[in-house]
Amino acid sequence: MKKNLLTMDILLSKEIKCMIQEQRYQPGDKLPSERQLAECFGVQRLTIRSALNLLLQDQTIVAKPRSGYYVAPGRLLQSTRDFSMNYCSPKTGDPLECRLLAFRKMKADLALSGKMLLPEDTVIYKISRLYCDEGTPICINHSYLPEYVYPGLTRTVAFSASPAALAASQTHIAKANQKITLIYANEEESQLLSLTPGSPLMKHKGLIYDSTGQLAVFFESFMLLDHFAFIREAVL
Amino acid sequence: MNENERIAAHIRETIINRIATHEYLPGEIIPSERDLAAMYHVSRPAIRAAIDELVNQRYLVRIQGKGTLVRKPDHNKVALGVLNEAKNASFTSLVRNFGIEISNKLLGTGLISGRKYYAQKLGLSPDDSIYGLHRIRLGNREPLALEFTYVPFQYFPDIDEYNFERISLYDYMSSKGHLPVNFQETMMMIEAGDKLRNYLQLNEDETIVNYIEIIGYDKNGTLVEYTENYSRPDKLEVRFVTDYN
Repeated sequence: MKKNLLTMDILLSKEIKCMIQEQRYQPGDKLPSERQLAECFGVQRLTIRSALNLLLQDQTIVAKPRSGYYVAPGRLLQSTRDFSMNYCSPKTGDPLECRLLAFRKMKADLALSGKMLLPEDTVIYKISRLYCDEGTPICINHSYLPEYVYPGLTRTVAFSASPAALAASQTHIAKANQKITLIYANEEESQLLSLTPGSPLMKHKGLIYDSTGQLAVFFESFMLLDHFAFIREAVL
Repeated sequence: MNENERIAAHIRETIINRIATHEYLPGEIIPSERDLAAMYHVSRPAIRAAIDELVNQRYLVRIQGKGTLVRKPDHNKVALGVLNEAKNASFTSLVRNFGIEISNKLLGTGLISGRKYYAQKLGLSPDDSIYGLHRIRLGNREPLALEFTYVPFQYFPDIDEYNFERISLYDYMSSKGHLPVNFQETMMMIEAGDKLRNYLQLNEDETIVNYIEIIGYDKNGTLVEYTENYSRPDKLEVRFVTDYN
């Protein structure tokens, strides 16, 4: 059995996390300086710096040049069971601004039908939205609702509720398969999200099925890495 | 590509997707050629060509008198054990390519006590002993994930006598009556520091890793596991299945 399983930088980063929680630091609050933290924990400044680095990497804190370290705004928590897309800003708690990018009726081409596991030329509605937090675009969502789920869907109705809610109003939602991958922004995504092309993005893809096993909604979201986390609750 | 080849390629892609999303489970009989032909409005020869190809690629296997089945992964080539084998398994990091042999490399094990953070995560008091297990999960001997697991020592007093390079941690926990079956998980993507990049053998320009924090409860609702898992996004993908019943 080894004695030092945990290295000092990891241990310290956890201690600082506890401190942030216990002393009720809020997002945007300034942390004590490196020197003060080193004194407080009785370690070298270099050690504190590597602990702070770990916290910068997982976005617990942010650094402001020539100012210090601040508690990060926090991430928007996306439950794996909730497709309402009622996103609230982790900074202000207010609902995010949602811009409607596009609504169109189309036939699924080969690529899309392959992704949706539906026959080619299936008639679908494509609904695209952009979510912004205090003016900063943070998420693009493209949702595809087959016409057989919601015949005669109009633009107004399409933007009145989330695609999953629209589907749920017509059919019984039973199952969802989701996947999260790392991708690099293409021209369109980087433009919409004000990033340089090739910036890393989190892609959240999902297929939602009704109780007969038929596809109800297919969606793809492109999200800023540091703004979102996914949670799955234990069923106790 | 002629029309028939194009249709066969599309059918193939669709079936692979259904296997990948666990719509067709390993060992499950897929619909007959006739049913598939009707389902996709294509000819039976096109379906047969698609299935032949998938049999060749070892996605499917034909069994005389039974039908066409989704091939079961070999026992030591299953999904990385970051997670349970329980049904409806939550966030599951799956090895992207089938047929990868999983092994573990032990980085360190040991007792921790007096560490508030870990005690809180496990719902223990700061003086309770916690056993930590740090491992690298390898696929074909290449690092896939770095995994730090912590368990309450009181439930696993002989844990240090086992070698978890060879034994499955969950098999061991199960033998003690504390197999985690219920999970609360948080998944995000974070920046990887130098140390982490070294462990996972990431290149200079690969700076992002998947991070999953797992709290596991046994069948009695006792908190028995806290795990931090860092994985390579190019080798592992995070999937989850949700049932609304």
